[in-house]
Amino acid sequence: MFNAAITGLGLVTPAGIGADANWGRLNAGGTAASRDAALSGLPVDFSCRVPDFDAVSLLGRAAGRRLDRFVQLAVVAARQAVRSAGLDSSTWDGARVGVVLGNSLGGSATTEEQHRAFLTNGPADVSPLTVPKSMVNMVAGYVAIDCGATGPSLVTATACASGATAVGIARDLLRSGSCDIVLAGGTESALTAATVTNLQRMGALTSRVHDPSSSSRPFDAARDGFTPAEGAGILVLEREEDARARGASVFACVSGYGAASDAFHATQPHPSGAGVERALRAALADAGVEPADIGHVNAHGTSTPLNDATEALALTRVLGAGTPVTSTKGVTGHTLAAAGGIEAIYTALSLHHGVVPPTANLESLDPAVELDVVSGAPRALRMRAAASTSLGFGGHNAALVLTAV
Amino acid sequence: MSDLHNRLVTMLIDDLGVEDRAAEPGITFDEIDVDSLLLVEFALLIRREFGKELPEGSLTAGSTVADVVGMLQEA
Repeated sequence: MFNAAITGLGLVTPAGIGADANWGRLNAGGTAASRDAALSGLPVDFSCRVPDFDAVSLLGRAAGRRLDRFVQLAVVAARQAVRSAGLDSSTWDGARVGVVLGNSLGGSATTEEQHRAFLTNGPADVSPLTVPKSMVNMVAGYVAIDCGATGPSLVTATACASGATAVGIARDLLRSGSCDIVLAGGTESALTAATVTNLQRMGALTSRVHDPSSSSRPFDAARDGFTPAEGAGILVLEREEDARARGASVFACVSGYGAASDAFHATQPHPSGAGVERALRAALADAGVEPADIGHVNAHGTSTPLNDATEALALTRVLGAGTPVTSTKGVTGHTLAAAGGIEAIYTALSLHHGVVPPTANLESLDPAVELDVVSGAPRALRMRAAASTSLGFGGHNAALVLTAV
Repeated sequence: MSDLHNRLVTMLIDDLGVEDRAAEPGITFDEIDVDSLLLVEFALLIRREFGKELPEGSLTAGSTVADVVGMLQEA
């Protein structure tokens, strides 16, 4: 068994900026969805954005002007995480620090803006910054530049499982001895008219346009699609013995990781949930944790009819009917590639505080769901271990098992 | 400083996020970390703002805002 200690937390999400703001908002319930001026006139004209995110004041003028928002969110989250770990990036041995971040849609806003410039005024009007602003890998590159991390840096792309995949890969870098510290998690900011339209046209989004505040309702019988969101969640991971040796505060440990592919369909999860089931069983085996020890699952729970149904089947088979489950996407909406990173942190906070936040908007549990979906109010629950599951288009499944310290 | 000079400095600072030292007379682009990509971006912004095309490669790391003013007055 190998424990990667979570010593730093960085959250920039629709539930707020910083771990405290997020934890308060999650437990208060209520969704972050609201009308979005950038989506005005579209079939889905609302989203969950990070509130009060002023890139220039948070990052300075250069980064505020020259980086795409998906990178800006990540750099702010990474700085938070390093600070909360009590580390100083100006003095650490950067060669021993890695960066592994999940992303799926890159700098959609930049790409779309420059495509418009190209179509309107021709090639001479296209910014030379388009490529470095928009490539998905650039977020790992910019975070590495920002904190002087000269160890391995990479971006994982397993769609909405990317953040969880990144945490799993980061743990492997610690276990192999390649790194002593890894910044891991995910980021996404693609709330553009074209990208949201693309998601809407494939039938992935909610159609509850009359009431955005009730649109993200994981495991509810009346759910009808996810609510698009942006955000970043980044953890500082270290070998547990290293963290203890330097006297760091440890929120929880990432003790197991599992991944599996459906090999079934481009966008639909396997109807039996076989892929996520295998990922979770692998994570449990990796952690040496029995199903009965899992106190709760922070589920992927996107609020789409298919995801929640199949995920619930898998969780029930592996952990048993009545297992406590929450989906924090009821508050945050679906942050796509960032979700796995954000929810790994939420899971760590649940273990740390002994509290499971409620699933917002859950009014009438889908009768096919045999899980104990926490709703209405936070639930006090002391746990030895918890799990976080993630599923992505392409049939990617990832599961993390976290243990309390 | 001319209005044109001041406008160019404002573009560097506000639009490209360059440090305030861009306003110092005689400072080169290299000294304020304006790299080759930002120089191309600056030329693009100048074209949009003034409708004038700077010859490719005319802006270099050693150029100053005063050099750009001269180029625009000749263009």
